[in-house]
Amino acid sequence: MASHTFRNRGARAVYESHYGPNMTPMVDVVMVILIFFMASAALMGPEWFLRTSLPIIAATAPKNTTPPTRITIELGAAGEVKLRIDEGEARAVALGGLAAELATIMKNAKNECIGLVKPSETTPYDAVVAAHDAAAKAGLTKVGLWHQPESK
Amino acid sequence: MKLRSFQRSGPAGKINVTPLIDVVMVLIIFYLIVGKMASDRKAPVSLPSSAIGTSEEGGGKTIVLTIRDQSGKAQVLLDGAEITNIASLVPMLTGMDASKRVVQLRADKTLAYGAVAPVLEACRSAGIASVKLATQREHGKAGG
Repeated sequence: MASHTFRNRGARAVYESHYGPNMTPMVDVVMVILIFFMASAALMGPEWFLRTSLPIIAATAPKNTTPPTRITIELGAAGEVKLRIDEGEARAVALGGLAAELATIMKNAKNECIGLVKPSETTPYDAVVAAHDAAAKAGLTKVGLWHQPESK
Repeated sequence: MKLRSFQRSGPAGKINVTPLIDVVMVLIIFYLIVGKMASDRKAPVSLPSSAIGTSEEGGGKTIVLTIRDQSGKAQVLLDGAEITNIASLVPMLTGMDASKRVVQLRADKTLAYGAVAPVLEACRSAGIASVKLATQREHGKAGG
């Protein structure tokens, strides 16, 4: 029996009879690092942010500058989308195809493009974020959110 | 007969510090988590999802504005404290020097934009030029 074999040996002799490195401290440190990364991942959370600007309409346009192409994304009560370029006619676009549509407009525009998401009071906030997301996906870096909605 | 005296081969009084370091590290992590949870100003909100976005930055200087859907009624919170009158939000934000700080807007996805717009209007009145809209990361998308 194994216990019988070690009966007459000292504690030190038994300790020295084990070969190889002592794994216990390494396992301890690895577990602590594992807990640390698990905790930090849980605290960071699955959130991120869309940067939006809160525009103000200036009374007079700045002089000696080329005005940018303004793409207005108008949102209806049920989240339906209409696109308007500068002061042109608004045309209906599906939310799913908004990013592709915006990318095409930007490609054909001669000067810099700025986006403006213009929801109505009853538009679901989810649709507002979806429209902003599509604009960011299309590559619009300057996207504003209209904060004085008209009640429809 | 000569008796053999018991001698240690290693240096006397050597202390194994590994378990001590382990325990100290576990305690540090514990207090970090507890401290983070205690100072959490984020109320639970059902955020809308987005495929694109940037990760959080700004640290403790961020102002968190939350708009919750409380059984059909919008509840506005500024850094976790409820704001009952929207008109009082403008002087509060101005007093916090909000125009020089990062402002996060965490709004419930079920709300109508009419509930969010007055808060944005108050931000604009307080001199804030841009806000960060908090969204839920869509699965399988990379950060920007």
